[in-house]
Amino acid sequence: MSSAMKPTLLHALLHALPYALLWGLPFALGCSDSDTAAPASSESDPSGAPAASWPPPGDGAESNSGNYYVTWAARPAEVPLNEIFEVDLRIWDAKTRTEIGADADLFVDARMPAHGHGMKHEVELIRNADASVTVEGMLFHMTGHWELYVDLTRGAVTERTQFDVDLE
Amino acid sequence: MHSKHILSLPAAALLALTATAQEETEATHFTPHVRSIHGLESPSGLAYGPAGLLWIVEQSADRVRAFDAEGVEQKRLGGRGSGAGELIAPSDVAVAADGTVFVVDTGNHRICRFDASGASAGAWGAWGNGPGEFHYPTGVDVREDRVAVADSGGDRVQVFDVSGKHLMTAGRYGHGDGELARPVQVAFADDGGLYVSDGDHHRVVRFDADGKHATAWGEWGYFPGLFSSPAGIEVWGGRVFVADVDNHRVQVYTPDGDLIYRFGLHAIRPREGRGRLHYPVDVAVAADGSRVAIAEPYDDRVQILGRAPGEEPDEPIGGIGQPAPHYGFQIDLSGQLGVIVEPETHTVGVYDLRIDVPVRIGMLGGFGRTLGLFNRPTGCAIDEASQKILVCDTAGRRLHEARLGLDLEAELRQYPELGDYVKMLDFEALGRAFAEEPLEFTVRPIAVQIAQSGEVFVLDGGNERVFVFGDDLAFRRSFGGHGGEREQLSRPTDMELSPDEKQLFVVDSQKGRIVAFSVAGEMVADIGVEELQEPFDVTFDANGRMFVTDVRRHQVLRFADGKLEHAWGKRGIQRMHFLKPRGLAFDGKGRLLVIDHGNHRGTIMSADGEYEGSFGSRFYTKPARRPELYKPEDYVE
Repeated sequence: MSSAMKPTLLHALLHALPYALLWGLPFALGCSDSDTAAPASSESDPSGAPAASWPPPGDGAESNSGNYYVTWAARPAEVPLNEIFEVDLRIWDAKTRTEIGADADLFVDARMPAHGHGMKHEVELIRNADASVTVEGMLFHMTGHWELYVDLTRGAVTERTQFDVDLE
Repeated sequence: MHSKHILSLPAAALLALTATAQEETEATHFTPHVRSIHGLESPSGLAYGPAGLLWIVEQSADRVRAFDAEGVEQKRLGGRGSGAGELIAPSDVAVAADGTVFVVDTGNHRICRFDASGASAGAWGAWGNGPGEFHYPTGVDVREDRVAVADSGGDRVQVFDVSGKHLMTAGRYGHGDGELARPVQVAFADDGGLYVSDGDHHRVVRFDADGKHATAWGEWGYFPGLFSSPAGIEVWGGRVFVADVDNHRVQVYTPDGDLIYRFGLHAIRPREGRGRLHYPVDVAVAADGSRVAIAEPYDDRVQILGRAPGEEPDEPIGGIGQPAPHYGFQIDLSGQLGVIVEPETHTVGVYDLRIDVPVRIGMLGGFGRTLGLFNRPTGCAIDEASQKILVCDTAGRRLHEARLGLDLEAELRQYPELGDYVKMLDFEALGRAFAEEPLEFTVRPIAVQIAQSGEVFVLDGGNERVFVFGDDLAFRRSFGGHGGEREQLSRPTDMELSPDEKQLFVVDSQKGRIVAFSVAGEMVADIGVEELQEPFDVTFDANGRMFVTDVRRHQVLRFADGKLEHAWGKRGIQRMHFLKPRGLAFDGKGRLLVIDHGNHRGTIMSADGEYEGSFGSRFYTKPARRPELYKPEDYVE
């Protein structure tokens, strides 16, 4: 293998690749923000719709690198102790302010960081027609501080959004 | 591994011996310590051969020696080099029925063959990922006319005839059935199938004689039957013996993976031995089943156990080897903060440096495959200003980023909940993106540096390249690469940016030197070619002087303007002694902190080599704190 990668077309693509992975190929190929703000999507697919207001309503937070915005709502509204509950998520691209929940490569988990463990139950993700995502099978089996993790992956990079839940 | 020289016996004798061995196996079990062979240099592989000779690979001496039942040396092979019969950092040995010896010549990416007299009888293999090529192979076994090789870096097992003709390949990189991640050792099953210790998956995988996946067992853990970095594997008497390295034990299974019993307890005192095990990496059973030999490279020793009366216990014996926070290979310090990797517990310790000794204020990680959980992390970096920590999740093939968010003016305290994870780069996905110029091997991130510019440098132990990313972990460029040219690398282990951040110094371990690249990737110089034997880490003081740990010399060396000025330490356990020192870094007070890995401790010294203290939760306390009480003979059998 060569000692230093030569500036080839491949190299140029590699320079563009991460941006393509992060923001989609159109952006990497030089399209403007306004182009990526309205990615191709069918009228029946609400994913990709711009947010009516910013930040979107609800209990939400930016991801830890600021590239996403996520809102969450538990069902029932008060997280129960040692009983299965659900969480509804809505996910936006924070740069384009478009909703991406239906297409997001998503992993949801919860852990008690002070105890070094997570949940004892596996969750299932349901992608809804309105671009929201329902997380079924959540179970907090102990009182104390829990962190709910919403990990979004684009290309090779996964980014975390997290919410605190103090269960008494 | 083992040999199958009993196959050379007449069939009737073979049947009688096999029946006797089976009865012996069921009527007794391995436990009592018989003897130890001391003074070896990092024994990494074993095999019993014809005439009962025990063949031992000494990785740090680039040689193989054979010992008789009394522990007396009878034969010797190898010597450092790449010529006929020469070896570089060999890992394992197998002996055929006719006395032919097969040695895994890891550093030369080949299998060396020696005849029964010890004369070189050829070799096969070279660096690569094609059939018959290898990437740092580590295990070998021979049975009748077939030779199996654990091609560790290639994430596969290859099978050859005894002349080196490639017959088949079993496994490939991945996480599914029959897929492997860093297979360490291999052993033939009695039916011609293969047992493979699948290191990064912490399991044993069995393939049938055609190389198809048959079964697998185990996962990471310390309870009986689980593994923490399984390595040596041996099949004898209808039993599968597995060296469970980080659990400090040998586990014995049925051919289908049901645990029968285990032996070995974690050593408590330095070099303790006598049946207590310390990172056992290989296991070999004598042909008559009367002895089992266990290689312990950290103690430079092979222990031999005999059989005790009584049937093999159906309940596991011995304690449960809970993982302890042993210091791993790397340390990084930035201002008031520091990080040290602890691979065995899959964590990174975070330290506050405001007082004389580093205080562990919390930890990151735990075992797992999601963001914030690691699998044998080896590299780490911290930046005090941003409180950013990067962790090389080596077996997980990922890079994790966390932020601490600490108030450094606050009173010194511990943090049960420390840091938030920001993002993670998956090198498996990144590797697939190199489709037009595919990487030869899976990326294994082993070291990381954070530049003030925001750039992130990651050392890939798989392809021996440096990858450079932006602060957003977007790929920018790469340089380096494996090879024999001056600007190419061979088994790099760590790296450090120069104080002005214009150069990146990469430790080129196998070539025994430090290579300086510009941050753009042009080679500038190589340093220490004459002095260094097996360097591991490099760092700089405020005056720009370069400090290097050398695993083979058991020393810290100081260079100025590319020339060696001083070297401190020797092999041992007293103050300013080292046992295979690894990471090193300067704190904000100009003190050098060295990870004395083999002694499970950190040593604090001045830039002039004056001892200033020791630290660690598991280090061998008495000798370090009261050296006047320590007598070396107390720790030698």
